[in-house]
This record gives sequence, structure tokens and C-alpha cells, in this order.
Amino acid sequence: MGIRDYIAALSPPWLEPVGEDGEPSVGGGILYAATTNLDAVAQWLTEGIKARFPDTAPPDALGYIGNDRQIDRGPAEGAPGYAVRLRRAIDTWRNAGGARTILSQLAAYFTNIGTPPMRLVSDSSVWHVYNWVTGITTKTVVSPANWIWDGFTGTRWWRGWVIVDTTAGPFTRHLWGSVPLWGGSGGLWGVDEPPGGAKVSDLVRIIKKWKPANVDVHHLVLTFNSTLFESTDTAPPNPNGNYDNPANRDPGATYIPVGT
Amino acid sequence: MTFSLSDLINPKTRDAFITEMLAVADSLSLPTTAWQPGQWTRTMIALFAEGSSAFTKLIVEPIRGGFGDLLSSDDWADAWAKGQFDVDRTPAVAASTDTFTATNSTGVGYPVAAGDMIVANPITGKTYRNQAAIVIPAGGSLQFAIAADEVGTGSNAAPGTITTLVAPSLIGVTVTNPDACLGADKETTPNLVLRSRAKWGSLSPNGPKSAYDYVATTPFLPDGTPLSNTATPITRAKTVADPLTGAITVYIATASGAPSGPDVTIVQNAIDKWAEPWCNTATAVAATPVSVAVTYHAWIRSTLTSLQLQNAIAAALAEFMSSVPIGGIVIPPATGFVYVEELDVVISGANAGTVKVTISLPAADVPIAASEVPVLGAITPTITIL
Repeated sequence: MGIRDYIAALSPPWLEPVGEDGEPSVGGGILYAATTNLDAVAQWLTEGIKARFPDTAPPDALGYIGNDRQIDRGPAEGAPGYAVRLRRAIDTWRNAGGARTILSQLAAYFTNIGTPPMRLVSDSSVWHVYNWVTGITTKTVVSPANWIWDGFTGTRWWRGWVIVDTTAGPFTRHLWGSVPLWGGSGGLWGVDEPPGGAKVSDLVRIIKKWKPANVDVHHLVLTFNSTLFESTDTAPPNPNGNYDNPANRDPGATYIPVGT
Repeated sequence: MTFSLSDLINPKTRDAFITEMLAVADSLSLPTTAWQPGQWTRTMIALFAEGSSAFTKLIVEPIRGGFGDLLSSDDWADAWAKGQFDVDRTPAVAASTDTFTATNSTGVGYPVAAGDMIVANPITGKTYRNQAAIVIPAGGSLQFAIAADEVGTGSNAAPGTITTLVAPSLIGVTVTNPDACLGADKETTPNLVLRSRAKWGSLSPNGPKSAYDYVATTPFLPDGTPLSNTATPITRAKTVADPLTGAITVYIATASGAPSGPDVTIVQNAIDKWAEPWCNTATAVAATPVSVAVTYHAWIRSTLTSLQLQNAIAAALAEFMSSVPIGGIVIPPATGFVYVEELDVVISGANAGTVKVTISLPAADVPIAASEVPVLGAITPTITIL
């Protein structure tokens, strides 16, 4: 029973919306209109409290909850899925810095955009590969090492690489000389972003947020060749110690420094 | 009826309620179009609408109070931080110095009980008291600790400015502060929100950056364990790693600049205890202050005095500068800066009626390295009241 019904039930007949003679009652009508407002305000307050909780919040509240819980939303991620991730914020943050969480947050970013194969590899050739079907990340320690970036491999153990295979999108290759030219609007070095969709700068931000503080994410590697940089490959074709020179890097990928 | 958050956080006007009430009355076949202003029917509706509107102004406050970006007051911010994160606002700290000096030129020693010596800055009028019982030796001098009677940065004093002995009357005794006397204001709400959110990182044993930032800026853990009960609150932290060594450096700063050596040590101990994973090396380092002097000319329509307007601008600049992150404002891929445009916004917003602002110093955006924190330098104001 709403307030309007409760007040109407308490009111004398001459204050009911419709009088005993069946005619509208002016006093009762005004009281009914006023108590209808009270019902609306009560619902307002109820909805306002529910807005704090991901599962009951209106869609435009999720971004604010996301800010408070520090969970980034993908550009095409729907409200229901994002709400579930917001609800799981504590569990997610408990593994901040872990490879699984870095990959799961990147995967969430790509929700409804694509399923680009993703993997992390450390300086010690420890691979973490994300499975889009199961959502599970698998760790593999490869020996002998199959990811030998340069002469520091094996000593700078705090380095890591994030590999996103974007052969099937969402990013596309931007070859030298194609439009927009270097310095033109909206262009990045070696990669085109889909309009209104995923952005490389977002990936960099997510990686930096979730990586361990000490890890130098040497590069975000966007590959445009699905055969490149597999955890099962040997070195070569994986980097074989001379990738400090960009000229030696496989041209089938774009290498974006991320840093610490 | 579905609500959006923007519906829920903005009060509804009296006129909107009147419109809705008339619509309800109309639906009940009441002759609403015949009701004239001043008639009791319209008056009753206006009264109910006014009351409903006032009620919505009340209820939007607790609704906004559920979101860190929408908090409407410090009280709601405190409740939000405590309720969501169990984080308390860092309170204001009284300005203090341990090296306050009294020199006695007489042949008689003066014992003074704790709190009985009152000294003052003759320019600001702020007063300070000795923190422990002292005896000023005959024909000698004594260094001891004083603290301001009022908490906050309003009692900050530059070296050599606390020179008036107010009480007791001690013949032949002169006083001065060889070092700056510094305190801190209570934590601002934007900083409280940022620090609260950084607490998420402390949940992980894997050492994300936010874990270091949170531990460096938070005096206590939820169990009450003191972490960094520094003399001056650490309000800013920036965690960076050296790609050549993998070593982590946590640069820290207070609202007024670099923290003291002992405070850096306290933060280091806190990081060692609560943030640093095994096999990692993190070092707390005081950020290097970079003085940013500001020379401006503001044209303001106002009935306030020039000094009042200047003071408002000085306060706004001080608050702004105390909130600039270590490393400055970074717009990737550029490194950090203090932007002149932002100073312009701060000065323009300090007083109602500001028509125009020109800034001649800094002449260009001030670069701030990752290890540096900007502090407010000398302000040279020119005010033209229109």
C-alpha cells in the first residue's frame, strides 16, 4: 500500500478523491495529488539507495560505482556484465598485480568488441595465455627460454610483454605512407583504432593499473599475424636476442612501449 | 517508473511538483483550469509542492553520499570513506618546530611549565606554546619544541618570524624559530577520495602501485596499527620503478612540499611492513620541491578590498598547489607540468566577479619531473577593482 492509499484509507469521506456522491472531491483530489507526490519521493529515496549497489543501480550509476571500485569499463561492455564485475571488485583487487588479473581486465575491456588472443610473457619466458572460451589463464614455464628480447634477457627478470593478437581486430595495421599520414589527426604509430571503439591508450592504462609496481612492461605487442609470438614457438621465430634494435623486430606487429 | 542517477541526484523544483499535482487532479476530473492564483486550491497545491521540493533537496544528499564523485559535503565524504573503505580523513596538524630557541641574557634561570610559555608571530598574530617543561638557563639559550594553538597551515611560520614573547614576562629573554614552523590542514575531500580508492591495491599481496600509494599516505591500518603517523601528513605519493634495475621508488610529499627525514623513515618502515612483496625493493624518497612563483594581474568587479581579494587568491593557489600530484599533471605522452592555464582557472575562480586574469610568471608551463613536487613560491599580485 502506498502513502496515497494509506492516507485515503485514513481520511474522512469528504477528503477522499471521489465523494460519496460519486463526484470528484476537490479537497480529496488535492490531498490525493499531494500524497501521490509523497509516494514518488519515497520511491525516489528507495531508488537512490539502490543506486549504490551494482545489481540494482540504474545504468548511469555504474560508472560512478566503477570509479569508486576502480574497475574500468570496456567501451562496448553492457551494463549487466559490468555490474557483475563491479560486484566482484574485492576478489579482483585481491589479485591485482597477478598475470591472471591483468589478462582478465583486458578481456573485459574487449567485451562485445572481439576476442583477440592475449598472452603475457616474462623476461624468464613464463607465459600466461588467456582462453576466451573458458576465461581461464594458463601458465607455462618454457625451458629453454623461447623469448629472448635482447642481451639483458635473463638478468632483467622484472620485464614483461603483453601480446594481443589483433589479426581479426579490433585494431588494424597502419602501414607507412597510408592515410592519415604521420602527424595527421587520429593516427597512431603503426596501428589504427576502430572509431568509437577500443583504444590503445586504454590498454596501456589498464596494464599500468593492474601490473605489479616493479614490473617494466617493456612493450605492448599488437600482432597482425596470428602465427607470431606463440608460447609454443621457439626463438626464433620468437625474439632471439636482437629485438633491442627495432629494425630486427618482426614487421608483422606493432611494438608500443608501456614502461613502469 | 524508472529513474536514472541524474534524476535521483538533482532536486525537483516546486513548479515541477505543481505541474504533476495539477495533472493528477486533472485526471480526477477536477476543474483545475478554473483554479485561479490565490485561490485556496492553488495555494494548497503550491504549499504541498514547496514541501515536496524541499524534501527532495534533503534526500539527494544521502543519495549523492553513496558515490565518491558526487559527495556534497565533508561530512558525507567522511561517511563515504569510513563506510565504504574504513578510511578516516587525516586531521589537521598544529604547526610545530623542535628547534624553537629562547636566549636568556640575565644571570637568572627561568623555569617554565609545559604550555605556560606563549610566543607569537607579530605579523600574523598566531600564538604557540612550549610542549614540555623547560628551564631557560642563565646567560644561555635553550632549544625546545613549540606547537601552534590553532591547528592547520594558518599558523605556519617562516624561519625567524616567531619573535614575540607574550607570556610569561621574562626579563632579558629573546625568542626566535631558526627553522620553519609547519603544520597541515585537514585532508581535502578530493584527496580523501583518491586515498580511499587506492586502498583497493592494498588488498593484493602482489604489489600494485596503488598499494604503495595507499600505505605511504595512510597513517593507520584498519586494526589501528600505526603505519606512518608522520609529524606532517603525507598527502601525495607516486610510485615509479626503474626499468634498468626493477627497483621501486615511492616519492612522497606533504601538502606543503617535501617531508622531513624522520617522516620519510616512517613511511619506509610502513612500506617494508605492508606493501613490499618478497624480492622487491621499494624505497621511500622525499619528492624534490620545485618552487612555482606566481605573478598575476586580475581585474575584478567587487566591493571587497584589494587585500581581501589577494588573500582569497593566495588561499586558492595554495590549496591548488598542495593538490598537484608528484610529477605534475601528466597528459600522455608528455611528462608532467604545472599548467599556466590551470593557474589562470584557479585565480579566476577565487573571487566572484573576476573579469580577466593575466599571468606573467610563470611565463610558460612549468615542467615537473617524476621525482618533483611543485610548491607555491612568491606571489606577486596586482589587483584592479572595477
